[in-house]
Amino acid sequence: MLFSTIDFVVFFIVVLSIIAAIRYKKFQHVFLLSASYFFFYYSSNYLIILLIASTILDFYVGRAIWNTSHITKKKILLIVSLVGNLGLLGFFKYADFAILQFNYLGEQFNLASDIPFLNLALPIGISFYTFQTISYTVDIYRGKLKPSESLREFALFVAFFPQLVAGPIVRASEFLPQLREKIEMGSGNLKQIIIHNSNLKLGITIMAFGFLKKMFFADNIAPLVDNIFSNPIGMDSFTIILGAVAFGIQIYGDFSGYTDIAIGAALILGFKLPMNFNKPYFATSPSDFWRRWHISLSTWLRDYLYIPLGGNKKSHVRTYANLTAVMFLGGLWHGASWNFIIWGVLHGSYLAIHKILVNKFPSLANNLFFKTKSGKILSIFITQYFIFLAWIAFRVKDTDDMLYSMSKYVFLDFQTITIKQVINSNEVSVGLIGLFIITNIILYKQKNIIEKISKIQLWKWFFFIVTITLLILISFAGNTDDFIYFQF
Amino acid sequence: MNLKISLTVLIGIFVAIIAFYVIMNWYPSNFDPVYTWTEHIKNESDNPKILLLGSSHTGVLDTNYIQKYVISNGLEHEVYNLAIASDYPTRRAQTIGYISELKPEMVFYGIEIRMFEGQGNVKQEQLTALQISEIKNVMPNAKEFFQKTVFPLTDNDFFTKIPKSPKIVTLQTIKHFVRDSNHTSSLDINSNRPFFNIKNEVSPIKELEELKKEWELKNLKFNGINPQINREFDALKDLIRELESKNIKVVIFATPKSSVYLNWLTSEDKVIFDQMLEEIEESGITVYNEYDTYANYNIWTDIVHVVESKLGIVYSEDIAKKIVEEIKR
Repeated sequence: MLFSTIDFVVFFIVVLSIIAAIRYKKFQHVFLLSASYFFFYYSSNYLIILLIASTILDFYVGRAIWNTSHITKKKILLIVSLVGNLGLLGFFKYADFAILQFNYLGEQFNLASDIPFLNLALPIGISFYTFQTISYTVDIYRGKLKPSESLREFALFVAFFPQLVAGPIVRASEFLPQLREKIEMGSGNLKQIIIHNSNLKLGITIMAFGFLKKMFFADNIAPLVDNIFSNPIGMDSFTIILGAVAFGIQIYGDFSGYTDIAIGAALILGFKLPMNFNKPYFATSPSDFWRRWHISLSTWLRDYLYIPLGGNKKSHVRTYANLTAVMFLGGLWHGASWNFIIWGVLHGSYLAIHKILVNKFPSLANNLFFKTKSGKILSIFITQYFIFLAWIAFRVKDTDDMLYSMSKYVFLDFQTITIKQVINSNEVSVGLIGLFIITNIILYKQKNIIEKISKIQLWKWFFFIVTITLLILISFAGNTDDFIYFQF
Repeated sequence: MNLKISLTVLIGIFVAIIAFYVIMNWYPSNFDPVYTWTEHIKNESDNPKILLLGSSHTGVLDTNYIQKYVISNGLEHEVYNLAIASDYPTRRAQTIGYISELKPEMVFYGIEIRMFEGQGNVKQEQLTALQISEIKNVMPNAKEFFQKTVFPLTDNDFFTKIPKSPKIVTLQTIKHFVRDSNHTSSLDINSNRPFFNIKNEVSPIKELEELKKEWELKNLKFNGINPQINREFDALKDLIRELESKNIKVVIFATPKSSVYLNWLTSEDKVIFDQMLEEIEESGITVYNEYDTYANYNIWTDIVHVVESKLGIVYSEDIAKKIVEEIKR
C-alpha cells in the first residue's frame, strides 16, 4: 500500500479509530500486528509468507542463541539465521542478475551456457525487513540484546507497517522496549497504545511535510529528471548538472518524504522511529554525508559489516579497502544492477580518498579556514559536487548514457543550447528546485521548525493543513508515482 | 485522541478539497481555449461533426480541403481539426469531456510512436509498479476487496468532474496570468483548425538526404517504448472508452513518417507500436496505419512533418477519403 494514496489515508484513519476506541492492551497489539500484515498483504499477496517465515526463523533462532552457552552452537545458529535471511534476499533479489552475469561470462568463453532466468517477483521491502531481522540475531549473538519474550511482539517489530517497506531500518533494541511500560527490554507489562495530543499534532505535522516533499516536490521535479536522463546524449554540461541536481532533490524528497510519513504515523501511535535524514545536502565531507543520509542503513553497514571487517583498527590500506567493500555492498543492496554498484563504489572511493587526505594532511583537516563560514560553504560545495556526480550513476542505467553524462558533468563544455530548451519546457520543475533550495536553507538556519509548527495555535495550524493539502492537490499530476525506495 | 485536533485536520482537508474543486472548475469556464471554443461552436449548427484530434502531425492536414471533399460527396458533416502541438493522450484527457459534449459523430485521432516513448522504462519509481503488478494474486486480492468496499463512495458527479491531472489545469491557470497575450493568440475561434495556427510562411520541402544529414548531426536516441507500463497508452484506451460510452465513433490513425525517421527507430520499438495498434484494433476500433505510406515521398519539411502546402496534399486527400469511407460505413 502506498502512503501517497487515498487507500492508505482510509486505512490509517480506520486503524487509529479502532486503537483509540478499544483500549484493551492485548487487543491493541494483536490488532496493530494484523493491520501491519494487511498493509503488506495488500500489495504483496502470497509473498507475505516470506515475511512470516523470516519472522519465525529469527524469533526461534534468536531465542536458541540466547539459551545456549556453547560458543560453536551459537555460531552455527547465527549462520542458520544469516543463511536463511541472506539466502532469501539473494534468491529473490539477485538470482536473475547472477544468471545474467554467468551467461555473459559463458558467452565470452564459448561455454554455451544459457541458464534460463527465474523471473521472480521481487518481494517489496525485503531488503529492509531482512536487515532488521539480521541485526536482531547478531545483537543477541553479541550479547547486546535479550531476545523478545513473545513471538507477537517480535512479529510486530518486523512488520510494523509505517516502516515495513522502506524503512527506516529499526533495531530491536530501539523498538521492542516501546511495547512495554518499562524502558528495560522485555520488562514491565504490555504498554497500552494511547494517542497523545502532542504526538498526534506533531505526527500529523511531520506527515504533512512528508507528503509535501514527496507529492509536491519530488513528483513534480521527476518529469525534468526523466526529460534529461531518458536521453542524455547530446545534452550540454549545464543540462546534465541540472539533471543531477534535480535527481538529487527528487530522490531526497521522495525517500525522506516517505520516512517523514513513516515517522509521523508511528509517532501518532506512540512509537519513536529513528531519524533517517539530517540535512544531507549540507554535509561538509563524504563521511559527514553518510552521517546524514539514510542514517539507519549507514549505521547498519557500519555496525554489522564495517566493524566486523576490522573497521579502521587495522592498517590504513585495510581501512580503505573496508570502506570501498562496504559501500560496494551498500550499492548492491539498492538493487541488482551495475549502476547501483558503480554508485556504491564511487561513494566507497570518496570515503577512502577523504580518509587518505585526512591522514596524510592533518594540517589541512584542522585548518582554521574550514571552521569559518566561507570554509564551511566551500566544503559543502566540494562535497556536494561529488555526491551529485554519484547520483548520475544511481539514476542512469545505460552505460553509454552514464559515461556521457558523467564526462559532461566533469568536463564542462560551456554550451547553453539544450539547457535553454530544457528550462523552457520544464519551468515548473526548475522553479520547484529553486523553491526547494530556498526552503532547505531556511530549515537549516531555523532549527526545529516542524516542532514549532506543531505547537502553534490550532486555528493557525488549521491554515497550515489547508495550505499543504491544497498544494498537494493542485500539483497532483494524475498518477501516484511510487516511492523510489520501495524497489529496494 | 484529541477531538479538536482530529476535527481540525478533517475540516482542513475538507476545506482544501472544496477550494481545490472550485479552482479546478473555475479555470476552464474562464480561460480554457477548448472550453471557450466548444461553447462557441455548440449552437452554431446542427450538422453532424467530425473531429480530428492529434498533434502537429495531424495539425498539418488541410482541413479546408477535407471539408470540401466531404461536401463534394454529398455529406453535410462539418470537419474540425482540433490538433494541438505536442499532443499526448494524457493532455487530451483533460478536455475530452468538453469535446464529447459537442456530440460529434466521429473522432479521428492521429497517434504516433513519440507519444508513447519512454513511458515507464526509464522511470525508476515505476519499476515498483511493475514489480507489484508481477506479484500474482495467488491468495485473495485484498486491494480489490478494499477498493470495492471503500470507493463506491467516490463514484459520483463531484469526483468525476475533477480533472485527471490537476497539475495541468494549475499550470494553464498560471500561464494564463503570466502570459496572457500569447495564450489568447493560440485560439482562432472561427477557424476549422482553432488550436493550430499554420504560419503564413510555409516551410520548404527538404530532400530525404538533406533530412538524413541534419538528423544525424543531432545525434539523438529514441528512448524506447515500455509495453507493460505506459501511462500514455493507458490514457489513450481510457479516451477511446469514454468516447465510445457516449456513442461517438472512434477511428485511430498512425500519422505518417519519413524513411529517415523510420530507419532511426529500432525494429523492436516498431514491433511494440504495431502491437499497440493491434490491441486497439482487437477492441473493435478501426485503425489506419499510415506510418510508412509516404516514407520515401518528397513531401517532408522535417523528418516527421508533411509540408503544409499543396505539395503535401496527398496526406490530406487520403485522410479525407478515409473519413468519407467511415461516414458511409
